[in-house]
Amino acid sequence: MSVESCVTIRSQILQRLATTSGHGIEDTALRLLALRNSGADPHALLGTQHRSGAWSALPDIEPLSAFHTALALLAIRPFQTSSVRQAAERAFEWLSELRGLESHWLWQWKFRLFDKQVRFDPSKSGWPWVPGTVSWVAPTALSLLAFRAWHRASPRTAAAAAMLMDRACPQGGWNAGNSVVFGVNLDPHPDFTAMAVLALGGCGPAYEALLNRSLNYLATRLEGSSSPYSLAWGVMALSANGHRDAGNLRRQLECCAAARSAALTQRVLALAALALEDPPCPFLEDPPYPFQEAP
Amino acid sequence: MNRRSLLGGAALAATTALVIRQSKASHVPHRRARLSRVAVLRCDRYERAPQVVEQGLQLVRPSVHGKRVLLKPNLVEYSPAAPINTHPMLIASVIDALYSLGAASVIVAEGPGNIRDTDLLLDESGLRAQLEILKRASFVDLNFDSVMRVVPGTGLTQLEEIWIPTTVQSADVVISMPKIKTHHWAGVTLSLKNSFGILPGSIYGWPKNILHWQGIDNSIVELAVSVPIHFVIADGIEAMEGNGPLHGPMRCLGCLVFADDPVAADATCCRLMGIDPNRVRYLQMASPLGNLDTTHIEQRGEAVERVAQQFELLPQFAHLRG
Repeated sequence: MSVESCVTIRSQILQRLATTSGHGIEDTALRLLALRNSGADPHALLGTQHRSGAWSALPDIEPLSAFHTALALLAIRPFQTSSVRQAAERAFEWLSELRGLESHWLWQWKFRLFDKQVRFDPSKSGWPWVPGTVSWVAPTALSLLAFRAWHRASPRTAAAAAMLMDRACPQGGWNAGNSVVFGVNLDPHPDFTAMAVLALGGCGPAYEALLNRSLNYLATRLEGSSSPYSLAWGVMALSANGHRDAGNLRRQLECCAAARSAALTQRVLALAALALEDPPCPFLEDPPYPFQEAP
Repeated sequence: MNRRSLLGGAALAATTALVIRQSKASHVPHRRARLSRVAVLRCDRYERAPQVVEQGLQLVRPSVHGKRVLLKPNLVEYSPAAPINTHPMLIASVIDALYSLGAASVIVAEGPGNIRDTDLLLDESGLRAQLEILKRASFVDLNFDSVMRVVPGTGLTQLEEIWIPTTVQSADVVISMPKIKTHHWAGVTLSLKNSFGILPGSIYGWPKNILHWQGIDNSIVELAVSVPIHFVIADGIEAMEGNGPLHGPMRCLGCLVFADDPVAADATCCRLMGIDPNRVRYLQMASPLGNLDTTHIEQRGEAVERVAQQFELLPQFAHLRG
């Protein structure tokens, strides 16, 4: 595929994003981020913020969601108006208060004594998808990214990074957040791996070995894949870390996005547009803002 | 044991007592028919599924003429080495058979519990290819569907509301198509547990951990009440034993199970696995919704004992053995 046709594909995607609207907060946030240099306005997304400061998957419903709150924070960051900064302040307050249930000593006690079939260290806590559950990889990775993107120092970030390290699959990469269950190593998944890699990237040598294994997993796992959603996350993770296969994966994404564009949802179109930017949007500035050194 | 551990133990005991009290105070409505129809038909390979499905549907006679039918397979994640998902060839056979019976439309819908990238799963599992060959059934990713609010009525969970996909709510007939498997948390995963895939991950996350925190058995029954299943076609051609639902070895059970009652279907599948359904907690709790007892199940096709095998069970589920 030629350079011109790649540019055309991204332009076509942006045009579609500009003329259609999405279904939920993930659609709206990713669309806003993809169109941030094309006159997009953050007020529609700001208008869906819950009074608590959080966002949920859809406007006006509960449960509130750490994943969507973090994603909204990443999406509004480029705008930096006073209303955006106020919204971000409230969102970070909400995120700072929300913890996985395993962070409570009572549940730590339960996990250490009784529920030992899932291998994880309950003292390492990140963010749950929704209140009242334990920490999982995607909401933790995106929350960590949001804190880093907004240059927010927080005692939660080092613990969240440790939690991600703890939940990594033994062979590298991440799945939703269970690496070993009943003694069996579970397989990683591309999107969760890419989110964790982006969250931990550029944070020092303590993470390098795991990140390299995870990047190699991503490159191998996505070779030949035709799913634009996973490819887009993969391209962003590989590019942000200068992996040699980032270019090949990007060309693969261009072909798949072109072939399937009519059937793609807003969130996948927006992710593809972000991954096809030059350089692909890594959510963080270069050099990225680190967090406290690895434990 | 220190003071902190003692306090912890007391708190856990109090929580357990509360859960038990809650469970006793729950209300599961009576929907049990006098007699449920279940058919067990031998089928040793998926290539034979079209004929066996046609036979099975004749025996159970689902009323689908002129109706919008939703098929809910079990699509979890793909491994070339493990029989995790309802086989795409079986799903295709059922779609064809339902159109032959006059269904107005057939939709295949699922919200995988571990995977956000349903497109990747559709490609790798082979389901997309089957649906493209058929050209007359679309797939809906329930994880990202629009939703409707449902107020749970059993009191089994602390959930004040459940968001259910519009596609499921607007179907006239819901057919659950589980893979017959053992399950390392629930003992077995059959038609009723299959409903976990109905809940939208976009709202509850991956996995749908909120259901686990409400108690798996409680959540299974709550969903069974909130989203009734009308028929079951269970894939037991290649089943899974041991450490299911993902990592157990394949067990060639060589049959398909058809039923007009999900409780009776799951009870029969348990018997086929060498498990006593009366010892499966969620089935005990769901008994007002359908028939567990063989005296209220009109058994068609093969006799269960002629097809049944002794599935390997994890030690913590050894007590389920029939």
